[in-house]
Amino acid sequence: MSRIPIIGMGAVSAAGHCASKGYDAVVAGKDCLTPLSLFDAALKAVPLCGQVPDDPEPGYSSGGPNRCAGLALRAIREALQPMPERNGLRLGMALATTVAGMTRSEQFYRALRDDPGYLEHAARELACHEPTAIAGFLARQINAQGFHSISTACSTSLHALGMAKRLIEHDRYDLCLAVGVDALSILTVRGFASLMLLDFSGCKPFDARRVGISLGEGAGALLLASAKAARQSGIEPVAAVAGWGASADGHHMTAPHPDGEGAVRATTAALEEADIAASAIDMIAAHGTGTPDNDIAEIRAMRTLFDPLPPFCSMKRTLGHTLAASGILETVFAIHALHDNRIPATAGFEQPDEAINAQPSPGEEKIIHHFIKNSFGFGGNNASVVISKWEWSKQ
Amino acid sequence: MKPLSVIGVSSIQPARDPDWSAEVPKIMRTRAPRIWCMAHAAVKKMLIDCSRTPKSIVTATALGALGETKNFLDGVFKDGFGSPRNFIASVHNSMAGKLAVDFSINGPNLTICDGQNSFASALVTASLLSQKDFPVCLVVIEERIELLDTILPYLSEECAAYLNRNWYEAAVVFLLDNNQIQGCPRISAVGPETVGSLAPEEKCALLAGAISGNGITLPPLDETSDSFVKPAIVAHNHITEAAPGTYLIGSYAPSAQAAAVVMLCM
Repeated sequence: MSRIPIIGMGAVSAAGHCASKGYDAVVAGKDCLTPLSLFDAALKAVPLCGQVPDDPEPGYSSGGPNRCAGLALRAIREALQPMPERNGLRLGMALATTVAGMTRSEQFYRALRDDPGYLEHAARELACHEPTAIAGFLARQINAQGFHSISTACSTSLHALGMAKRLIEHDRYDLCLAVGVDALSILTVRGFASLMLLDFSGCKPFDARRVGISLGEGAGALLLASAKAARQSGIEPVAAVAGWGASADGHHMTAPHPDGEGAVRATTAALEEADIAASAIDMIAAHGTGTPDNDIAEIRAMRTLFDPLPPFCSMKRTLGHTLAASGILETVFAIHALHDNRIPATAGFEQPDEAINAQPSPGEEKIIHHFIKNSFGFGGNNASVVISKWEWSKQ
Repeated sequence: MKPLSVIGVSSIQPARDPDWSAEVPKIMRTRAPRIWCMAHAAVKKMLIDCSRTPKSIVTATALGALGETKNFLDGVFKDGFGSPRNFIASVHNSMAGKLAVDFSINGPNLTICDGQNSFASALVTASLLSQKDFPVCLVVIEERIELLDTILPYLSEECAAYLNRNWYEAAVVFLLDNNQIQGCPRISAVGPETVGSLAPEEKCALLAGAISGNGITLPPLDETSDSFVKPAIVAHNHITEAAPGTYLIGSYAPSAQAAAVVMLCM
């Protein structure tokens, strides 16, 4: 396996409508959560969520059939900016989403329950319900040749990034976008509330007081290229995808394996594919959701592999847990950190937890050559990627 | 993509087999979502006849556990309380996660959602996995719920034409190896690709030419793409009938305006 250059990045999140603005908030450990105002979730209290503010340049994200499509299009256009002309290169896309068109479908279904006559609006409201409908829409907007739509809960977008890497390696495409997107929806807010996993006051990753997650929304896009295409384009890569690892816990449908066995297998596979030792990892961009079980299992898993534990951070209090977008969105900001040689601070963390026995970085300068990004999802679904600084000499 | 060897195959088609759930554990049959039971039954059936065990899972589903999604929203909108069990089961990858738990399959666990092209897209995805992740258990699965029968005629004419003609539920399983194995069918796929200004049939013909060379007939799309699971059922039937030959199976997803082609060499 090879290192695949990343030549473009885009991000839309509660922290702003572009990658650099989002990074400024992430690296400062800023809290961007606000009381949920996109819809009335009819819960006992209004939860804090990472909501994308209105687009200051609506032309970049308008025209999409639903919120996910609009967010993704905005991030994709930013990622494609370095390469406005493709000169015959084959462009593909791996799209990660769990919510897809649900933001409209759930409103349609609610209206239908109240008024059976609302069925006549079905064609308009459900046309982009499926993940593949959004992928098809995006592909048409950017003239992508082909795409794959993937949905594996919170780990989805790191799988999409891994697939994009392999699609380039297998010479399916010269350029491949890895895109993760999810929008806030009644289904997800009420769903996580039903599991009693929401921290209404805002998540506190790795903190002794942590009780749950804060949901968020957004989109991240990474433009991968073959080394040949990158060289031909004259664009200096911002980083390389060095390794992807995936595994299933096979343990429980929602709870992680208590020792993080599946997470260990995914991270080990990513390190093996990257062909680097664990000791070479300079930072872990953790999944770090803020639930009692997930945070402790993740650190246990990382301790199995790393001694000492590298500096780690969670971006969930800054962005919210953006579900299928989180892996790529947080990778975009971690790549900025790699360039900045700076470990982001973890918003929401104040009190160390003895059970975890480790503290996220307070925000520090450190030379970063390689980092790990983790994402773990429902169904015991685990994904890790290794991202490295780009060096032409290693190709 | 490099063709994969099909070393095991099975299907559960409730419309044809009313006793399909007999081999599902009773506690699961009574408590678990129907679509989980279909997936479990199909994989169990395949493993009975196969000496090898899967190391990873790729699931292909257009709509996922739609019944559970509807049940969760019914709870929220009607009673103000959505069941956490319904929510857990509603995610697209819940079938793949449950299979990993039921059959201790601890490798990569991916769920692909590309409408009628899901089977082809999942085959391409499986081909991207590492040597150590094979055999791959590829599960194509869709369930039928009453609400869809009500809604589908109101979708666009194009969608309704494809979806409503033969709305069908099934779980179809293929156990795949990435080595060429004597006597085993070989399967590969291309797509999904956007059709652009071409008609779906024209795009499929182009893709078929790319994957097979010329000279092999592509059946009309309405024979292979009239439900989400049909391309997989067609491949399954060719394999179980064991008639030598090379078969092309086209698919078209109106919602994505994209097409794909699967090639099966017996």
